[in-house]
Amino acid sequence: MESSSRVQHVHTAIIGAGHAGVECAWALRAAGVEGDVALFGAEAHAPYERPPLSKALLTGATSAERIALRADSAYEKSRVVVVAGDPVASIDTAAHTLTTRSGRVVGYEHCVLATGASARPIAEVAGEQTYSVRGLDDAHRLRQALRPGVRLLVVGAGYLGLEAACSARKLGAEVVVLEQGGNVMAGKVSEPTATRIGALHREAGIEIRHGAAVARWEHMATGWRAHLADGSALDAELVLVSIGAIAETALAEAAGLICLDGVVVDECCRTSAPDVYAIGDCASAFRGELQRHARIESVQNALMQARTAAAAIAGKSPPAPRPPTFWSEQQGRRLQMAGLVNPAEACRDVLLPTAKGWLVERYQQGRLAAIEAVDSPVEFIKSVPRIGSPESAS
Amino acid sequence: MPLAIFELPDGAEQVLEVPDDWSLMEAARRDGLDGIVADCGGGAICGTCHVQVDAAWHARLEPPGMAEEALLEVVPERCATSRLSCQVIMTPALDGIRVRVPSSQLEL
Repeated sequence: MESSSRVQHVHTAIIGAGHAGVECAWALRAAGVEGDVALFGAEAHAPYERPPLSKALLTGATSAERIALRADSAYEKSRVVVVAGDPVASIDTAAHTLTTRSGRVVGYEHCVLATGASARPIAEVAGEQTYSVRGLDDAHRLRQALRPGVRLLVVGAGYLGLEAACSARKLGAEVVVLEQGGNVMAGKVSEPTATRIGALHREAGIEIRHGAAVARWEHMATGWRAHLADGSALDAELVLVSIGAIAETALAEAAGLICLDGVVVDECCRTSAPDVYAIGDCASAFRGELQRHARIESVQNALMQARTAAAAIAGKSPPAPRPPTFWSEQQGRRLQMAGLVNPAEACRDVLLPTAKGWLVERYQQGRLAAIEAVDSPVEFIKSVPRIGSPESAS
Repeated sequence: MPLAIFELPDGAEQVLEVPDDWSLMEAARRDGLDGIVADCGGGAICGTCHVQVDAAWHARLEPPGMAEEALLEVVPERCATSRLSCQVIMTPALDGIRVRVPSSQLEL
């Protein structure tokens, strides 16, 4: 954008132009901040929503234009300068300046890191016919390769892998999902939900292999061969790597910020450096439910932390904390999750049927720790406020 | 392009251009309108894009689906003409539609 070349000193520099970064810019304005706000994005695209990348964007049900987070005119109206395609290369926290890849130096009063996370790679699986889904370009590239009859191997049965598997199957691909663990969405959802959703995927023609560890990858003329630990082999033209994400902390680490699986932040999203905040997928805040710092990958958490950091910058009181929520869409079923389950403690799951789906109440240490709802949004909304309350009262 | 008029809790009005076939939520998000949160991105599951539709316009809308109808029973500040703006799809006949943003959604 033309005006971005004139940016020299800003009130707040937001590094990362995803859901968290854009929300933070708007939250600053809503909190009454009048000074210049600049949003630095690594991608050439205007900021967009990421959840549809593995779902409606991959199947073609929506377009890049419709998943844009804001219209260009909205940035102008809110006086948010978007610097796209010239990512921040370094931060000097003592001098309160940042330098972009092109060499531009920008002074700031406040800096917000919203750098997100990148796909965890498999070292041997790279280059042609290998895919990940983190950005719009990734999704477009995979979409172009998906056609009826093409064989796709999805490595990792988390939310993203399963969503992409559904989309690929809808487009006619033959899909095999490899999962090292014993069930889909392992550690993320209850056993009843995982088993039921896994069954729906199988009914839709997706093959899911549990306990499948790949011993070696071989690049073939036609694609890839996965040599499994049990001695068998699987061939596919395309491989999608969806084994989780790694926080983008390189910039923060180089700037001397304390990082530990994410940029470590306090309850106001402040990092260890003065006037520097971190929000969204890259930030690791203390979670009472887990009794440790943890990153939370969810849109709702990104929005909450964006508003929290904006409130701290503006000198306002932060929004009331709420349990983190997550959602996914698989085989036409809509999953909603709220709360966090501590994997170090026993969990008792109570499965409750609803009109269209089911609800799972997850209890730990006598309290409702988390809930899951499948095609039951009303039950979900009614149950979220009960999270944290004793079992007898719920 | 068809227009939608959003009344904000402080009484201000914002007029949005909504392309045909887009939902009111999509247009509100594109313009960065406060109070249309849309956590779920338009799936009619989160109930955070609730609007109260002007009665005359409400009568012209397609009836809500079952999921939306159920959610409208539990959203804050619900009224007889409540709708989820992600489910109100713009058509030429809805040019000029008027909706109100509930104040509780500003707190989300």
